[in-house]
Amino acid sequence: MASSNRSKRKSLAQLLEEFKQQRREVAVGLQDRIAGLAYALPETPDDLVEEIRLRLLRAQGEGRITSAREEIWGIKATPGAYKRTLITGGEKDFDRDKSRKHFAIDGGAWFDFAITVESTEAGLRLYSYNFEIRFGAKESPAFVRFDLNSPVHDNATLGFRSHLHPGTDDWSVPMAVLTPVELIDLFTYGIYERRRRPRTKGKAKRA
Amino acid sequence: MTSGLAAASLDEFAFRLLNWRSEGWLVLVIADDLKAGDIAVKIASLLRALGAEAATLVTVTSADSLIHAVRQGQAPVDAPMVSCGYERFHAEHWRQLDLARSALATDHPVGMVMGGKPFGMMQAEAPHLASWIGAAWEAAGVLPLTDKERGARLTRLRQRYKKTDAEVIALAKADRGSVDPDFVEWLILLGQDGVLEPI
Repeated sequence: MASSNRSKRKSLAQLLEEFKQQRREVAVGLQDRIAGLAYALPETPDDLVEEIRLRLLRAQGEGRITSAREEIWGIKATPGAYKRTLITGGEKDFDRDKSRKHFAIDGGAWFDFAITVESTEAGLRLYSYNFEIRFGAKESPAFVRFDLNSPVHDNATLGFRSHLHPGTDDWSVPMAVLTPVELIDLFTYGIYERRRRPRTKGKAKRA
Repeated sequence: MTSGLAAASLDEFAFRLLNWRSEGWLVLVIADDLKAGDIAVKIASLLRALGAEAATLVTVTSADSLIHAVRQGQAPVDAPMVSCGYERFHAEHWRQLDLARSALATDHPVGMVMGGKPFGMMQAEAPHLASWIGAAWEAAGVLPLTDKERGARLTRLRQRYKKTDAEVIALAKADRGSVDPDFVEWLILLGQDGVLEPI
């Protein structure tokens, strides 16, 4: 009898494998859901650049973006080898060095981005991107980066294709796929708008 | 194109048209005469996207139709306007416009979208009108990174990840998983993104 129970009992290795499988299913399910939301892009990479520039020009006209217009017209679209185009705004800047080309937001924050799009039969699709907004080394968080990794075809691979880094490269938070224009709106009108509100000390008065 | 004009993208032209405060109309010269109409439509929609909801588009067929469009029978246009159709103009139309150029004075500049041929004909047949034009640009698509800009981005990627180009290509070939956007960019800058999975 005892030997029969032992044979039914799962080994530690089996339990670990089951646990990993469950985690994988949860992660892949979440990934599919948040990275699978529908979004619309213009027809061509040039059209997307125009859309981004228009958004930035309007934000500049409203005083939210303080960069010169030449920076906005400096957004480039570089073709790749496989129906892909790299769209870059600002310089590559791992050091978060404000002297490098970027888009400045009224109040002191700044950002740059790199987007890769792929032309498919279904139209232009987002292949990957990173958008990083920086608030300064003394701020907390000092930066927030929205990353979209390349598509995952192997479901055994864990990891969230779309995620954000809340001021540290070590932490990733699952995040919906946003379009470039949505991200720019978020940077120019969303995130910073909340940060600009003065913090009240003590209990807030209620009407 | 041999115009010798400065280049401007369509959104830049739309922005400059919307914010032009000096005298004279603005011209956008395009490489393909047959696409003038399509490009004019696009510029009108760009103007609206920039906030000029009342922006209009007119396709002209003669000097008279252009003058009628801008005078609207009474007052000159007071909202941004884009015009096209100059490919149909004969030399006589341009001469007529040259004489009637005072009728073209508008509160807001009009954008003229035309190919290289009509632009050349305007300069030859309507020299006064041509000199009254505020500015002219050659239409350009979105530019790619220059070699210097591409090199600078690659240098920073190599420094950041402490990998060679060959190592990055080999990693992308071996890895069937999700690739970080920096590595996608790296491969595109090298012209090696063919190793990545398509969508």
